[in-house]
Amino acid sequence: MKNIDSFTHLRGESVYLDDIPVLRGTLYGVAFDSPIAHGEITKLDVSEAESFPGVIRVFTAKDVPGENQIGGIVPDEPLFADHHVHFCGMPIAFVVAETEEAARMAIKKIKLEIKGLPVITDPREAQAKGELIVPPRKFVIGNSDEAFSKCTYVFEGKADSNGQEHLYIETQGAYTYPMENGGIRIHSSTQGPTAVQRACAKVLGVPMHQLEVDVTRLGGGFGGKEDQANTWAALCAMASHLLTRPVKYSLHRMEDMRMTGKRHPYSSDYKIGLSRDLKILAYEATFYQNAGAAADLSPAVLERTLFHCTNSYFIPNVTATAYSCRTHLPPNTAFRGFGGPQGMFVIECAIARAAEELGVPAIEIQKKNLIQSGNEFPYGQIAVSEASECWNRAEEVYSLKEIIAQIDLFNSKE
Amino acid sequence: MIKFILNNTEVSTDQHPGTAVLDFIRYRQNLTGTKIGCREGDCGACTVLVGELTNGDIRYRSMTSCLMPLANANGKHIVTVEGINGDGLNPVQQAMYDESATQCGFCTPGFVMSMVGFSLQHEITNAPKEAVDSVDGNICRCTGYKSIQRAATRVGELVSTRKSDPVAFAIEQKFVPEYFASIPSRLKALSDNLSAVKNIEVADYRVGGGTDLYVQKHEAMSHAKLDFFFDNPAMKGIRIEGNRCILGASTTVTDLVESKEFRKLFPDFEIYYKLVSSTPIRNMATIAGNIVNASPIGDFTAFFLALNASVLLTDDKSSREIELRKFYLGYKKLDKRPEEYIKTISFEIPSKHTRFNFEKVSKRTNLDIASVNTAIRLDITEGIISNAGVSAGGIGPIPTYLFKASEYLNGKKVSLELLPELISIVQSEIAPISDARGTEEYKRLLLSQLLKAHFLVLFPELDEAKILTI
Amino acid sequence: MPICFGISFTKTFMNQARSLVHVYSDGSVNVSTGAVEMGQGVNTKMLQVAAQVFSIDASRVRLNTTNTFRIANTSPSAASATADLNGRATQIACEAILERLKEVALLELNLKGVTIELKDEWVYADGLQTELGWKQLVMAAFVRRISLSEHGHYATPEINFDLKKEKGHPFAYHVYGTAIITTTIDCLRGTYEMDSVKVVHDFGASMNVAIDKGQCEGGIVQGIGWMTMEEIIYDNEGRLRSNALSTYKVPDVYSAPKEIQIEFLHTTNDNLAIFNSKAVGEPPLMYGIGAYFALRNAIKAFNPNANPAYSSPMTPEKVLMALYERK
Repeated sequence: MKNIDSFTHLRGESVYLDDIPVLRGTLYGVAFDSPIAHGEITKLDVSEAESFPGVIRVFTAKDVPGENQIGGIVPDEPLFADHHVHFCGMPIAFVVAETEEAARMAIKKIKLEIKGLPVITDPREAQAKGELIVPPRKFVIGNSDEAFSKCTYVFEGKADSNGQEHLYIETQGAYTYPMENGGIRIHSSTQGPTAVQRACAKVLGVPMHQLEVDVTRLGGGFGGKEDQANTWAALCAMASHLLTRPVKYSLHRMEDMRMTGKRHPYSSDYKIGLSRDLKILAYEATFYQNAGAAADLSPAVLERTLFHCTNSYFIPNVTATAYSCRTHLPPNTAFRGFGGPQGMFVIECAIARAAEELGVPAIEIQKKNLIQSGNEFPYGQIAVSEASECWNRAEEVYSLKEIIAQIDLFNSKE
Repeated sequence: MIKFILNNTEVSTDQHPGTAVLDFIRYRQNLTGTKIGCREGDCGACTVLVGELTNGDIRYRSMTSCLMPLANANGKHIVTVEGINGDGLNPVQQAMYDESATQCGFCTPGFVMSMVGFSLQHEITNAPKEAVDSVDGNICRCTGYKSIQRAATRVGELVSTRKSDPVAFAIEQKFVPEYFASIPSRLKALSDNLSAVKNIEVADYRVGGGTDLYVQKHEAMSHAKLDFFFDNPAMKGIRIEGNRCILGASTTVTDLVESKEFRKLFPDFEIYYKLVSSTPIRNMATIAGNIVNASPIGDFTAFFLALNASVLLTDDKSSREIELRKFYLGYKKLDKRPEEYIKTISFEIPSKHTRFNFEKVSKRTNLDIASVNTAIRLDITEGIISNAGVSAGGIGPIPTYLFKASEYLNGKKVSLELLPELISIVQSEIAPISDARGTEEYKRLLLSQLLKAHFLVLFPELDEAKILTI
Repeated sequence: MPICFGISFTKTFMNQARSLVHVYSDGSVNVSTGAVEMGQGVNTKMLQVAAQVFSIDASRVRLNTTNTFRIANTSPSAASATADLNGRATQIACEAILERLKEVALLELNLKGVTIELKDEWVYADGLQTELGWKQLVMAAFVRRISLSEHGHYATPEINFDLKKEKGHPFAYHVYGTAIITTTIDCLRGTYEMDSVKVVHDFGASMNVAIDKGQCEGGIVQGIGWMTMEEIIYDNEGRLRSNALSTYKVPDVYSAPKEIQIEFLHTTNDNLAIFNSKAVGEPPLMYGIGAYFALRNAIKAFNPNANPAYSSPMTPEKVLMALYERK
């Protein structure tokens, strides 16, 4: 069966956030965000922006009727910067005007002075300074210290993976309008309607039952709209609540890229120990997660890095430690794989390194160590494994030996 | 008053002529099938077709409506996805349906429009491949493209059976609705009472294809005083006069691609232009725009620098010609007074002794800004280089003609031995900086490699293995 | 490149979902769940669940928008688990209505002690087709004042995790797979192409091959993008330099691998997936990690002395620098 949306997608008839017909009296909001990654706000004057033709109001932290807080797991993320800014792109004000154009022009009239403070972008530096989002986590199975002493080969090294922008083609946004008796209807491009409802309830200081969040579909999410849709929904909902007018904000691409978090960059150390016949006996890894300026979903992402730190392999002795490090980047967030890929990248680097040092193909080490049913993952779950089935089938249906022979032949010609 | 046919309806508007077509169709005409992805021509979600009548012949081209001023729609047929929808699915939509080539659907109308544009294209040589090429300006984040490639290939196979006029075929195969048959005569009628968008005496900006201005100055464009060059007939055309080739300032890359005369001069032009932006952008971007933009990394600037091209500047009262290699004075600084603009670009046509090559490397091979680009022109008589021109971009504040390197090559016998010295001269002549497109160290190494690539491409008889080890 | 990915939210409490199913008196069906459609095809799978449980034509089922007034306390559409959780909840809701409809069928047909089934919109009694069709059955239930609506609730069984010990059984099941990735580097320019990605992927028993294949292909290319050209650059002041599509490059139609082959490994080990069709959203992305190592191997084939830092993405810059690295 084809995707049930195919027909309307192909005819351009599917409705996304920015396609919802606007109601009479709709206002348009645009966020004004920090140009500085870390600093103290010494002056914020929105009066000129507020008197710009077409502008209805400019909201800042002091206007929040409920709590100025949208943090999901840890309440460490203000909706509006208040006194301090913690990352470039942090919302400071929300300009609401009759037209989007007016709002965008008015933004330039906001006067902001920030006293810069030291900026940390490197997670290892943050960890060294004790800037952690949550206490470190450690997964242990067996005894890696002891096991390393029995290994024929031991290799140590460092492996880094960079972040990744979600680049959903539909940018973030929200469209909210007041309903009877103080209710608000919120159209949001979100993967988490309840997260939006909860965050908006907190910011507005109203019970969740007042807020109807409705999502038709997203033009891509990939994790980027799991928690990070909350900000725009909360900004619009707050303006709708205070002005009793419909309010819409559909982000420009550069705003979206600048103001939202991405896949977490990681810097990691590994130590891998193998027996003479290339069985991985011991593995140690320390992960430094670049969480950005607030928790967002980082603690959960961190956890999944640990869950997947041995990828498809059975390793009897593992010690894996993970730090969620607070830096001055936009709060990094969920992205397809949710920390798992970052953990898997490191064990693959360790295996590649061992293979390169020992002069054997990495596939030999990989294949020999695939997890089997009945083996235990470092977190205690017993595997029901299809790893070898997949591997062997791939070798067979794709004639792996022939592929390798062809590659060797090609490379010998160079 | 700007007038054009939007899908099947004639519209006239007194909106500011600098308004992006995208905003007009979405927010004034409520045609929301055209999506906003990036507003800088890099994603293709807003792709529309633009039909234009020239000599009674209608041609449709895909363009990104985010970068297109309303003024450039004047007198044309603008087609959005709503304008190609028939009763069910057209062959493009059906192929994408069958191949499950749509997931979140947000990029989908853009892909559909690019492929419908392909079905209306005049010259078709290898349709299945060209159908895939037609979506080179469309980004999809969901599918991984394989299903889209499969769909495009099927569309191409259908189009390859075409024997009739493109529009007639497209109607017959239901790529487009029947009303398309009436468009040429309706455009002709429209052109009879069309007023040119008024040229403004003192303009803030002169707009060609808009492909850079609308990226850099997006918000200003719907208010600014603008002068529009794109459809100015006096600034169009590619002609050969004596031993010179003269390009009107508003010549688009696609105009070059479609010009038989020009293609004859550069037999490998397809290899070069495929490295430059995407189909919709090539349909809009003008050569003078590329040059006057003064980006240190302009691809066609590097191309024409190596040819030692000249630009003709005019302020409508007097004109002067200046060598392109002397046009750039500093970062984004030109030897040009504000009232002057480029009227034509001209260069000496390559002789049968001329060898030319263009190289470009970017993070993504296609539709990306170069890390480094370079072009080379060598006139060779009996194995001796009689006249050389070497240019490079991305290695300094301006698009650079490498005077010393060019000078070094003059009078030399072609051989591999030239390369080490050439590379060392070039290294002394450039001053790259580290930025988002690469570190200084990388750009230096890369340009050296591309110089080797020039030799390898121009002189296939040279020993490839040796070049790799220089 | 082998992969193994655990399916479930690792916060155990989040592994719950609800579905609201209405059967209207004309036999049409409306389903609301907590799942958000973002291209992954979850609504299509939800529709399949309802159509399959009722054994009715898919055209009778409509998926509603995701709305907090219809479905409360939703978990986000994430962790690849959306179809499993919301699908199970839909299945539970539909089955509850189905059971009531079967009771009505017995009454309508004046039967006792026979097994009622619905097949292709007809009521079957002990395997024999009766004269009672779906629409009549629904109308009969309505007239008899039987509820044609149900709110299904599902919570993944078996899973647990003890945060103090960092041990437990956090995942409903794991998804496995292996990819073979080949690449060719232009050793002069440092550019490269992905030639092929050949995958054997553990789908369990895929309930929608077209959608699952699309998720695989898309995930692979996104993963390759992460490992190759997608380069986030912040300067030391914390300002994003790769701040637009012109400076941040994701794969385009030409940078997708020339060939992607997906072999569906039909695995039969029991799992908690909806209809045994394993979750497919996230796992394929990790095949892309293999692209990094394919490039690394290719670099070393050209320059055995190369030992670039283990640092992704492997941009053309890093490739060229490594090709000409001297030790």
